[in-house]
Amino acid sequence: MPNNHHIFADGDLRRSEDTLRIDRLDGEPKYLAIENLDSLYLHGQVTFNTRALGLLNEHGVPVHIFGWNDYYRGSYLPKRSHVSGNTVVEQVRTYDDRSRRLGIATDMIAASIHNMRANLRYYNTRGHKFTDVLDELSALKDRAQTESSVESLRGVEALARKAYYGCFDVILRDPFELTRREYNPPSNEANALLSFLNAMTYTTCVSAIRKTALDPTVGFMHEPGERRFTLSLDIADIFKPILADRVMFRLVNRQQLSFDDFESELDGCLLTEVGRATVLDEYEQTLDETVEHPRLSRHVSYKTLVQTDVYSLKKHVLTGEDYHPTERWW
Amino acid sequence: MFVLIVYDVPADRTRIYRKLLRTRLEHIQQSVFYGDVTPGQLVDIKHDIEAQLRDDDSVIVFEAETAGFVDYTAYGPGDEPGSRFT
Repeated sequence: MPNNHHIFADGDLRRSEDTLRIDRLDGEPKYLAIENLDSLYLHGQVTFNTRALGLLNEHGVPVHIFGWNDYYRGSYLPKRSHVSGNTVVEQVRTYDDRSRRLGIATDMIAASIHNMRANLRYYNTRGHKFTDVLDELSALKDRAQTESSVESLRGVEALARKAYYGCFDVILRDPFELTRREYNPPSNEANALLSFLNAMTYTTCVSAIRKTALDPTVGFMHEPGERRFTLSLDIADIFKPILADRVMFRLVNRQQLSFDDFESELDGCLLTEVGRATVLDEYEQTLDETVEHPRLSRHVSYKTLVQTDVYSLKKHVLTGEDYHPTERWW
Repeated sequence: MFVLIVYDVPADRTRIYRKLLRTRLEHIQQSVFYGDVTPGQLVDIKHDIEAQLRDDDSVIVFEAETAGFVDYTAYGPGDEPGSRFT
């Protein structure tokens, strides 16, 4: 199973003897096994040339680039290995067909609310009392099934998210606080942590979508705009409770992170480099965690779940087979 | 699958194996490669090794069903095997 690799070091990325070599400014050069690489994340100042990009291209490895203070800057995506005009045409038709689009958006929101609720249910048995919010989320999930437009669905989602985020402050161990979700820039430590994890979830979805012929810019729940991969945003919303929120609770409540791992700039607060390494370590371990999959009847990792979710969507778009967005069942 | 490959070959032939193994495995020490690969990849690797083999080349492949079966203790400097960070 290919793994992600994160480069924090500054240096050169180049092609050498048919694989990738990183010439670090300080330290020995390091070689990466290109055939065992899923996605490459650049967090440091890295220079590379077209030969390195060509190699990444040959092996279908996407590169996600994080800039100053690890703000997500963008991705270099390899030339598509799966091109299928048919899929793109069907995807756009599905988007344009009111009822088909609504069907997918409803499934996505229902799954997203389900996963939020699963997190609260977990903490409900661990010394917190969320019965009211759990009921509210159940009701909102039912209400989502009856909405008749994508706009009103988004309203339901906003209500669910508000109720859900309202519980964060209770779950998070002091001194971490999250009373308001604020980003651009994140206003406090918990917001900074959540923004970073959300960005990671997004890139995981971008990588997964790239392995299919689906067009990442045409989403169903989010309105396609410019410069944004709306389909990745759609899929990321399903997985944020699993890949971002839960990892945040774990890191904070086990005290793996402290306020020393953050730094406050002029306005806003961000993770330090040490803090980011801790978060990514935990995030990567979470991607590797496996669960028994009922339909595939084998163990699959969380990373594979993102992939199967996208495959399922593609199958739905192409053949009309039921779409199964990932709802936490374990 | 867990794989550990070590080789002892004449000096002028080390680069052949190094190049072959580096694309799929992590080069953890001189002539020692480690990795977590699919069964198919391992078949490929073995096939490629056999294609290069000469009389004085010695290559040993250790394998285990999953990396979880194998424990290790690392002493001294050097990256942890399987580290995803640089």
